[in-house]
Amino acid sequence: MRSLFLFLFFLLPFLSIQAQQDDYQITIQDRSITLREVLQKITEQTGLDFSFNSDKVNVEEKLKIRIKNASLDETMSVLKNELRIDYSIVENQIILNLQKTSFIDSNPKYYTLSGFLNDQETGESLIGATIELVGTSKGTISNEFGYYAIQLPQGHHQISFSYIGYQNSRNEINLEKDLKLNAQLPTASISLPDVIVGLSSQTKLREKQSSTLKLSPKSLENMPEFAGESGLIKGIQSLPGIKTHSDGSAFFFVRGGEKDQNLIIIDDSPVYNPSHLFGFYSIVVPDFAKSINIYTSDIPTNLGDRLSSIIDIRTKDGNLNRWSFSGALNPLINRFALEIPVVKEKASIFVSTRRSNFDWLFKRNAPNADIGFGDFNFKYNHKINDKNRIYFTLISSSDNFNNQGLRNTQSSGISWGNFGATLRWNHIFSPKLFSNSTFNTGNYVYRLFAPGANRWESSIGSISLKTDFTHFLSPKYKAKFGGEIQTIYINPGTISTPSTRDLFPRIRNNYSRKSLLYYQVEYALSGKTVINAGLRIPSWKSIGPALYGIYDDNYDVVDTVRINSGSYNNYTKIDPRLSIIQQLNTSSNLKLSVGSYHQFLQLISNSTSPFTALEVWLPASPNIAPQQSWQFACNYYKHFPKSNLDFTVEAYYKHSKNIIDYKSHPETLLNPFLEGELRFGTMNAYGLEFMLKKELGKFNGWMSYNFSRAIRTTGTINNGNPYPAFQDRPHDFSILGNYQLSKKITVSGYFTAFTGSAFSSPTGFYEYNNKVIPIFGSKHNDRLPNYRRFDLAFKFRLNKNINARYQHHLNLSFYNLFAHKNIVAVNFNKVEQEDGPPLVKSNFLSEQSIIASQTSLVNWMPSLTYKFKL
Amino acid sequence: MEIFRMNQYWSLVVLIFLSFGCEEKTDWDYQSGDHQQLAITAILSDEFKFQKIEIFQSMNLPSEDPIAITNATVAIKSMNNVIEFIHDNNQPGIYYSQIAFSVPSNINIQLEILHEGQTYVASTSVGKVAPIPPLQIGTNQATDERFVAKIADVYSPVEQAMYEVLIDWSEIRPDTFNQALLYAFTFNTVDISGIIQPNDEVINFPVGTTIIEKKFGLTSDYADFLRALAIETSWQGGFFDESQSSLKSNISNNALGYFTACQVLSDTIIVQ
Repeated sequence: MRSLFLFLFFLLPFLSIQAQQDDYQITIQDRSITLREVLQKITEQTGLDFSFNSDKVNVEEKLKIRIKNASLDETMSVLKNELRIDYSIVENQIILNLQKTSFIDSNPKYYTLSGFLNDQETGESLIGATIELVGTSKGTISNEFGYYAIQLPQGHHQISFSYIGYQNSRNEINLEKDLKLNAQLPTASISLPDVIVGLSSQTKLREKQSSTLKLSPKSLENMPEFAGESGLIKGIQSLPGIKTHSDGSAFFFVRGGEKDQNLIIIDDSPVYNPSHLFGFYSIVVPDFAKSINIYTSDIPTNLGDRLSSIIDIRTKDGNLNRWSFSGALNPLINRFALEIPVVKEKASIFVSTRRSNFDWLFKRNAPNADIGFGDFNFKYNHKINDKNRIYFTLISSSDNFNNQGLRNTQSSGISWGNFGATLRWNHIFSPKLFSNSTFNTGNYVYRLFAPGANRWESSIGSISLKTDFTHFLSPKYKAKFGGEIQTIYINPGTISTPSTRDLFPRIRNNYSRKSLLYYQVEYALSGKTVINAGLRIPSWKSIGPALYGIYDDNYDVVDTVRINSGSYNNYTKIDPRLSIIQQLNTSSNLKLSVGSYHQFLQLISNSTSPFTALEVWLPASPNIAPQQSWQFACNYYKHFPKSNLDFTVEAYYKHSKNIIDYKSHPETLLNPFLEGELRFGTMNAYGLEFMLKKELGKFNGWMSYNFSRAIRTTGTINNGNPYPAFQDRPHDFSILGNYQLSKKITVSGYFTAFTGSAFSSPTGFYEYNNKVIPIFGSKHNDRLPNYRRFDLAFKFRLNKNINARYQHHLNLSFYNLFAHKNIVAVNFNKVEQEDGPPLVKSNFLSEQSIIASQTSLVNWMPSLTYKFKL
Repeated sequence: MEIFRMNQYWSLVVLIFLSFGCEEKTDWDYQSGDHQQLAITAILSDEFKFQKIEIFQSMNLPSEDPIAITNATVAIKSMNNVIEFIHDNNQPGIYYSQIAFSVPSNINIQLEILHEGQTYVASTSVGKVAPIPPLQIGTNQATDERFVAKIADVYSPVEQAMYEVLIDWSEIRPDTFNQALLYAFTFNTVDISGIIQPNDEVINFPVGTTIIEKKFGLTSDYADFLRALAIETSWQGGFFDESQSSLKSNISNNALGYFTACQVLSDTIIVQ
């Protein structure tokens, strides 16, 4: 890990310098200089001549500029802002033009330009696309429905629409009243030069203001696959600040937070367990996702309820123009997607389904087994008119692991599933006021069942109604506000059985109601400074009927309180959030943010397993105060236009309280007084995250390194001393590279390495009644071995014509190519076997000594997938 | 309790995971704890016999032989009765009561150990026992040998118990390793690692083997201790492990182990 650290720090400056060398290095540091002299200096330093109309451009105008080692793009942007001149580069000449906006009067009338941005071919709305007033710093980005609105002064303007992977579009407009302008962007052909599909520095800076990590489904497709799929969880685990639990796990940790502090929402529908096959697969079908935004700091006030991250997934609307059918076939898993334009350019349906295909793998050893999982996703969208549009999304996933009884009459096994249905209504009240109302219901159910209709079941479900408004108040102000009412139902694990002799503790359901108000304003203090300030006010009420315990200082129940109906406990919290973005120059900005976050739902699990077990959810209640955190972050972003590199460094500090840990050997299942098993403490997490990214070109990818710590303190645990959290991994490095070997072959490599997780290892042993018992010292005193993995993938395009209607390709992936044994657990209770893995000692007259044993998962996994699109 | 009789199913789960990963021995670099604590096994019973208490020192490594404590003064007290325990020089670390006795139910007993100027005390009541459930014996189809398929349910809402199963086939095959001692537990709590236990050694034995099964009734506190012991030993190392920590003893002065008393039922089976 030390060598990795050194490697990284040698490599990062090298790459940065390399990127700058690709560009011009212009320095002008005269305090008083004419424009003529400036242009001369630029010509001297770049070799590029200027061409302009001397009647319109006053070259004797005195300027005060200081530019040091700036790129040409940065230099010209400074001049553009100082003098209101536009420029373009034709061959080796820079052509200067006076901006049309310079003719407007000093007190102009403003009008609103608004509309939707769509993919020209499919009609899909483009989320996060950039709309700019050419030659100025004015601009905005489209929202999650592809809608934009910007207020501009009366007069002629040139508007640019851009989105990565698409050809830019420019429109001349004459703004004499509010104007609606929809834009359809054509996708960029692979044969077009990068400059067309890439984004300008200004656009990049605008995108970076939103403080999100974006993961495009296309980039997921390029990542090496595991058993047929690259998967959402594995994709986001490769981003800075996000750490995987271990191989095959759907759990992840963000900036030191716990695994339940991340919320995945698909079209506003929460997903409580995003895993299939205990975590080897993610429930998010890659074909279904359109955009994936990951918020790890400065989370907007309309999102929340988790302390560490929000993964906001928006699904495809469905092709509005023509039928489309796509799929992927793999020996372990198959998936298909169908897009149907119900009414051309007005309404469409997207249907996708996925089904595992493991039967052949286990049929020989387990002929009565029914092992598998599946997904079904459906989306309908309808443009009712120019002002109204509705979307209906349905997501459904299920895992079933059954073993049929000998007479095919009884089976045992487990199953779990997510369900979510969302109806959304977009309404444009006026060009300045956009609203989206959402009705959502969903649940997650986990069942363990056995012959005789015995069943253990836990579930969580919710019904929610919310409305979000975006108000484009003025050229400088944009406000978002709204509210939500949500009812949450939790069954924290009950057993049902037909037998009268079975007596189980009665576990009562929990009912809660959340109401939320939020307001956030974005204020452009100047062309270079933007302030975002907001308040989120959630209120959480526990609802009867309920029975809860009163605990003494030893966490023993001393009394109980019975509630028959109505609300009986209320937490109303105020979460302020503030960020300031300062554009430092034309290619870099600095962002400072601070925010408070509350979480009212917690996953109760003392398991260290990478797999989802019988976890249950519990709401905030009289005995469980909501978890809370404050996060401070400082982000520096720099774009290198010539080499198309993005460099980001972010420092953060997060203090959380009411974070749950457990007493020794807690009883978390079927315990009516589960709160007595919980212990509450604080967490301090801090870190530094670096990321270098190249989105375009023959060679693209990203590289990230984090230094981070996550330290907990919980009451009397560890004698009251701080201890590292399981996810405390100081060093984490990953690099992803895609290289186009030829027109038909792309190779991708992904390498990651990080410090092993903290865990408690024995510092001594003793014998008790023939058994060897471990003695533990301080909590999490040890670490698992460091993790290291290299994946390799080849993508072969099979169709000759790149623009052919039928497109198909073959993906060959090798997960953990070098078969490095990444340890997920170390055990100290097993004995060696001559012909197999170590086993738990069961004969206590045997003199065989207890040994330490280690478990690794997924030592090597090849994968071959055929993908097609029609 | 049928709900947790799901071995067939869980073997499938294990099969899935074994398809992807593996477990192997490792030379772990243990951190030194320098505990040097007394480890006391004191399980008295209502059987009329010379009761036994074991006292050893804790070890640094699991493969070490523990150092026996041979010079302690050991006694139990109940009301005004005191029974002393004498060290057996033939079995270092083992102390037997001076007289044979059975622990009556409904009384409180105190343990007192003096060693190198330190006093270790504990108290307990007697755990009550319910009838022994039938032992389930399976057949290994390949060798026609037998094995213990199930001793007892892991979960019972009405009782908590420890089972000690001594399997002896020394009279049938005196020339081979011919004895085994198994343990099992029943608790009134549900743990994922108890439901989905890791694979353990399977002891095969021939027809005609003698099995002596003992069932120990547990007090609530001792059941908590044994549940923690199971989590740290026989239930550890599966796919749903829990966060580990030391067991809490009821013996004072930072001693390890546990002092308890149990009602015991015994059953002898000749395997057919």
